[in-house]
Amino acid sequence: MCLALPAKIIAIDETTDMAIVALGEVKKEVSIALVEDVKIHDFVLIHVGYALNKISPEEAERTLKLFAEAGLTDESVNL
Amino acid sequence: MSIEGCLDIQLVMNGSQINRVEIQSSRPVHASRVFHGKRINESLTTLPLLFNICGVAQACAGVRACEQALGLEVPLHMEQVRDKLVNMETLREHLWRIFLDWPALLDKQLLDEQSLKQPLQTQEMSEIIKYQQDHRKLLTAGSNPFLLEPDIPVIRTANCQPIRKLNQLLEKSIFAMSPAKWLEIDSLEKLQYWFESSETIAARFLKKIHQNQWQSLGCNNITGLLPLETKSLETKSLEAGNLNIDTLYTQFKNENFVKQPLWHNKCYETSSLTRVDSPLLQLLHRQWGNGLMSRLVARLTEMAQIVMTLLDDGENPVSAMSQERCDIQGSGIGVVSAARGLLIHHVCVEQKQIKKYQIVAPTEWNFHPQGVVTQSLAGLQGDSEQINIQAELLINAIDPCVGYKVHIV
Repeated sequence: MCLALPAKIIAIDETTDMAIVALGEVKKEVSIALVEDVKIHDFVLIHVGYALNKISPEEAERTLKLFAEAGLTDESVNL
Repeated sequence: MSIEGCLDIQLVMNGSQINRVEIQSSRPVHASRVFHGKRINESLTTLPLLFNICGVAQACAGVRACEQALGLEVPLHMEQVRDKLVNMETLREHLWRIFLDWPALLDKQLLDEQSLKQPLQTQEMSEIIKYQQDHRKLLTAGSNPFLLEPDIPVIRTANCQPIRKLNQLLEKSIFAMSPAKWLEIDSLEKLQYWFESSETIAARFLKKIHQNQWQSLGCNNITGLLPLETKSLETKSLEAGNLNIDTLYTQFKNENFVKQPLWHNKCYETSSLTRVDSPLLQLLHRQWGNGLMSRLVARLTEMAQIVMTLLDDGENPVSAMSQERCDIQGSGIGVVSAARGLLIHHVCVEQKQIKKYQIVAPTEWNFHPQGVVTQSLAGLQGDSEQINIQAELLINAIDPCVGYKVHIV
């Protein structure tokens, strides 16, 4: 299904507009070129290597809870 | 595996031809079950966050299904606002694909570089997001039109600044002329003159397709799936699959419908190509069927048509599918023309709670194991490198809403 994953920004490389995001224990490098004013600890929605937009921590928590309820987040999670 | 799933596309070669195409999907098509037992407005608020790719279309299909299930009448102007927001999202999605993918597909060297670096036109893509946000604020005055009983006044946005800016962006970066002028192209000669004399990514991309004689690449006999109100277009010489609400209810009883949808036991395509019409597209269909050139021009045509409609902001007719009703108490179906094709939500409610929620996304129609992508790829010829390039072009043109991997064996 057309899902986008909420992930937390944990590092930013401003020269390349790339960031490291984390979802649980999983970390991945994504482009943040499409979203403005991204800071460390912000939550963004990720889809095929791009951060699409920022969401609030509350929205991220609500969405992740839904992913968990759907059985979509577990040890095999791979952004 | 990844949460959003993946399409695994295997091309089995025999000499210089594709012998067999196998598509396996790991998309979590039953993820909408998370709404079972939830309150309706809670689900409608969360829906576009969870299904964020085409989140506007998802929200629109969701609220329409719930309104239908509850027997709620929606003011005409509200449905028009929703359609405009969905159209804007469709335009954004098409632009993103062009800016993100076409440069890399245009040039193998760029493809190699892009795997390590940024896409080439991120500034334009960021601008598009801003125009979309500004347009939504103007149209909705900050309210959410995708909740039950929304209260938004009639707001005219004809010639508003975000759409004028978007029109200018399209003129500069896509059409090398105004979208209105581009829509006047009505012959193959004029189209060729345009892509040979313009330097935008879109023009250069079509020029490459022409130079490689890939215009009919992927041509096949899969029919377009059309919503109820749409007449079978002259451009589609093939039989059309016309959806109707009553049969859809029956189909949703089959759990496999959301994973591998069929209509009257046949595969159908749903995309820009199956819903957009113009004199130029009719010519292209006659010349190259539903091959690659028709697909690309259909996307460009839809972009130009949408921006013209949004600039005009007239009394646009509301999608008839949004007005469709069925007499099944507590059940509703919402249908929206999303960027990649028809998006269908089915909901059963009881005392303002969701009892059942099902979604059929366009990717499931188009990437059905026997569907249009399979048929398109089945006709490819060449060595494995050529096949790989052609397959990427076709898959990108039909455009899944999820990542994919192509294996040639």
